[in-house]
Amino acid sequence: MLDKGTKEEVFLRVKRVVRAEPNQRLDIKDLSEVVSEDKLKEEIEKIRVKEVVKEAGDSMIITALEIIGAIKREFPELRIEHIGEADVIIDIEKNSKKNKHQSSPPRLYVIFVSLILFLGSAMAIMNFHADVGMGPVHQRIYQMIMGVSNQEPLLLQVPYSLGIAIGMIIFFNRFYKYKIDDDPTPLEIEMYLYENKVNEFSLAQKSKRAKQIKKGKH
Amino acid sequence: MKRIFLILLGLAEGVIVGMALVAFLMVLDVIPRLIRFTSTKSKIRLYQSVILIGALIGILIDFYDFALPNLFFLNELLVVLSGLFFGIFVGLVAGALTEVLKVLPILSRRLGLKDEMKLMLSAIILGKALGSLVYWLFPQIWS
Repeated sequence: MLDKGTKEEVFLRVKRVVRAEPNQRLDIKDLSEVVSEDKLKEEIEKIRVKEVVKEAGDSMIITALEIIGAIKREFPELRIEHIGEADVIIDIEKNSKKNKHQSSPPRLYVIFVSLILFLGSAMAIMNFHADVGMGPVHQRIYQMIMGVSNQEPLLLQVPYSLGIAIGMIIFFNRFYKYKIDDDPTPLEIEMYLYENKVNEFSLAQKSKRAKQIKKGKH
Repeated sequence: MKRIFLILLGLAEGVIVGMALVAFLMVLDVIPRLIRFTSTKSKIRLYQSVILIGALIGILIDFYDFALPNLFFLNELLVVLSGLFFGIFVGLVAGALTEVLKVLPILSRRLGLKDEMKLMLSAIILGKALGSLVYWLFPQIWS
């Protein structure tokens, strides 16, 4: 055992979200990063704070004070510097849920969705052309350049159609497996933002619920 | 008196439409995207003037009837090239429209197809090109 009388210092960086399974033991190690003298650190990390109880449901909250309290129980003289979050949100995952997300979708399903997107975007561009009156504009430009009028200026319109594909590939920076450069694509950025929003929202809801459960207990 | 009012009206209309055009281009993030793609940040001023000149030439084409002189195959080449460039521009705009950018992340999450984004994107791109081709090649379908 360490000498508990000396003025040891411990820095705690409490995590924001911890994923856990039901009935899992939550040690300091799971909840927080600890910086301290190596031997002390090992002992502190082994301290048990709580267990994931069944009643908690989807989530529970452990406050930083509970963590500090748990450490103080073992090492009353220790100076604890707490940085990081005030609460840890325990995100409780049931096993079945995890597995569902990991399995890859069936081939036929992917093809079906792709087909919808394919036909849908084809319809969308046709509607767009009809909506903005692209035809007359093309006829006009054709007449200006060629000097003769043409009801179906395909010479202009076929390259135009290919250009749409090129423009979209430039914008999205990729076509199927091939990426043009290493920049993140706008879609990846959008995806990232969207996922962050969803996570943040569900977190906010979970912490709300967990706080309510906590209040109900006391 | 009526003439002065007409002049004022035309001017006001022009100012609003001009601002709307620029706002439209800005909102879609197309220009920053192109600048990043070509790493030509230093040429921003050039791009500004080019957009302005392009809009002005568009106005001229719209309001005045004129035709280029005939120069062998150059007219055909110009037609093909301008068609291609129109298409690239429209493709950039179509990609930037929210229908693709905002819908795909939600769709892929809902349907559990997060890893198939590449395929879905390719499907959309091909769909756009094919839809456009069908629209121009078979006008008898919807006339």
